[in-house]
Amino acid sequence: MKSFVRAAFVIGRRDFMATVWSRTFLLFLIGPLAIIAISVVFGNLTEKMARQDVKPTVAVIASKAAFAPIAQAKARLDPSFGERSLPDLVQFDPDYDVADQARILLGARDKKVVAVLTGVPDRPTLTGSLGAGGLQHRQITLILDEARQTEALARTPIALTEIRVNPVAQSAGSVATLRAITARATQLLLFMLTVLLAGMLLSNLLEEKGNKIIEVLAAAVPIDAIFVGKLVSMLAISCVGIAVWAAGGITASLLWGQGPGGLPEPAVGWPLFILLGLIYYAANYLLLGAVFLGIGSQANSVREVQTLSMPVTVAQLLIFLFASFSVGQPNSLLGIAAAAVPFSSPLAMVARAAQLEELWPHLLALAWQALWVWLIVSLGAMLFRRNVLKSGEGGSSGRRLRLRRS
Amino acid sequence: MVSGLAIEAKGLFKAFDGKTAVDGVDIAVPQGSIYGILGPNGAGKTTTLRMLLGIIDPDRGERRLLGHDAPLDVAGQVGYLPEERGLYQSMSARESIAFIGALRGLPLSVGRARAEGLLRDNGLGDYVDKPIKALSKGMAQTVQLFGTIVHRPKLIVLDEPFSGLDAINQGRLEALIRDEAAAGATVIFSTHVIAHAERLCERVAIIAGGRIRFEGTVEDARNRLRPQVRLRTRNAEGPWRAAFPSDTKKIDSLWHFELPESGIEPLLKALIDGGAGIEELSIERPGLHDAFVAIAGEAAARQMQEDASR
Repeated sequence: MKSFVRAAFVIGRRDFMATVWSRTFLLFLIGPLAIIAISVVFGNLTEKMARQDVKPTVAVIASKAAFAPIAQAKARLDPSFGERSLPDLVQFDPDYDVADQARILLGARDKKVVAVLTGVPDRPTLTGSLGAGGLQHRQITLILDEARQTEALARTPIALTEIRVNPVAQSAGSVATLRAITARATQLLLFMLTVLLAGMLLSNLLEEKGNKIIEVLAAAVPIDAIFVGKLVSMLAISCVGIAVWAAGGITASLLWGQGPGGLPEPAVGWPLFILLGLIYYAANYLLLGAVFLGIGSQANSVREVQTLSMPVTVAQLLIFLFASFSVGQPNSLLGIAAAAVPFSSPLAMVARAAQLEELWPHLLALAWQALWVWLIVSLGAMLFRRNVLKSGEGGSSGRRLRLRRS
Repeated sequence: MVSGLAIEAKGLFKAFDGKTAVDGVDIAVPQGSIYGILGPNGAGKTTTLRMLLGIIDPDRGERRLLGHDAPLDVAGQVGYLPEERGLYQSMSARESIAFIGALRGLPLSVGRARAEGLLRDNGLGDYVDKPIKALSKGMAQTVQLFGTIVHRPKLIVLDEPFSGLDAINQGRLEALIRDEAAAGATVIFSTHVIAHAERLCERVAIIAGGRIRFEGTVEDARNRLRPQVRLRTRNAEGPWRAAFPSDTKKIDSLWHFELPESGIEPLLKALIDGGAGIEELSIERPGLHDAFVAIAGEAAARQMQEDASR
């Protein structure tokens, strides 16, 4: 066992140092950092611009007195619908020819008017490129109804009903909903990281096969040790990348953004959830990476590896979709199946950690995932010896030799 | 296990895609010896070595390396130079040697120090920190050879080590092999150049068509043939001709025949008494090449010569 670990360490250390000290690794680190920086710096700006671009404007041709209750009604409704939901209302004093005025407003490119409301308050007419029953029609109807009802209530002695709010710390429904958000976000993060980083293992043995050093390695150490060394070194390299990107993302958010978004607290608490998240990321990487390494070790050229990349990515997507069944229903049949199938298990279990407090399933799952990593690595090594090194089934190498001297 | 043997193999058999590469090979390499495996390309030398080292498993047969059934159990005591040379191109010469040593259990720091010493002692001091891709083919080969011995193995396995080396480096390699053997290591190498085996080896195995045609000392191989006599006489014919063996041939003006069992003396007496007039007489022991031709056949010998000239 000790010699196996030593051999894997020698292989892994070589790969790690060769990758991290190469110039291309700098590009590997900078690439996503640039994307993160651009996203954070321009995210707010583009969001605001998009809001302005998308929000429609309705021109109201009415006197200021007639417009005032409409504007007040919209102001009362706005908080219930969110900032972007109701169109902006802009008042215009009526001209001599209201119909012509409406036509001119609709055609004015600088004003971006989608509809013109005239005839308020008695015979309101909405003119524009819209259909009866469409969104703007219903929204304007709602605003006018609010204005009318408010005016009618003002003339009656009926008191408005006020709903009292009795706040509680949590409800089961709200907690489950919030935790599901964390579960899904974490699953997505783990999936994206694995898709970006595990694929590198497809081509990991090409260098050794291409420059023939595989013969030197195979004569000195077990093939399994080569596979384990490469897997662990690539995992370490991916963790370096993640650490750099996370630091970059947090820094950019603090400097230019609004600070890191707050996800709802997971069931097991943040410290343990982060630890489990890291462990399940490693498990996910090792499971999929072992498969990729085994498949890629059979490839003879870069072209074959590139051809394999598409089906491999599709497979990861299917695994992610299957694991997503555990969000919201971790103890359902599908949720348990997602946790039991080795390849979806890490994603399913990290979602479970966000939603349920029990810890013992995680110990069981991690042992199960570790077993499968070992099985896949062993299978990959066996296939490598058989198909690449052309080593068939062993002879009697395990039996003691008895030589007869003639 | 028979004591005193570094490598022992019996009945090794290996086929690839239905084609037999090695067919029932037996090998016994004494500890501390220099052992050669001779044969043309495709004879099964590399496959035999790979089976002995555990890179591939034989389909049938048994092998033991330094007393162990599983070669990887003694990986730290074995050094291996494969026929197809290969190093990481971006690694420096020192790191490459140290890395190969580390694979065999040598601590990296020790490997680096020894690597630097080997490189400087052999005229490659300026290339210690140069990447392999900056070295010539011969230098890279030398670096890999140093990686084979940096951890001071008890058993050194070299597959076609002289291939690709110029005459000077071949001489250096021969000296290195002798030095390692003198220090107590067992060296086994394969070659298709008989001259190297003749100069270095105590024992050889001649392999052709996947089978061992001969296994024993170089002396035993040479003794398979009788010494060759070459004789030039002043007179072409005479009663002394009756004393010649039946296989005598005349090529140009020289008589060629094997030395008779009775020795050269009766023939000399016949020549002197018959007035043949001896102008030239030489008795040559057959070389390993002659023995190889006799053992493996003309076709195999011709192929070896063609391989050597490539």
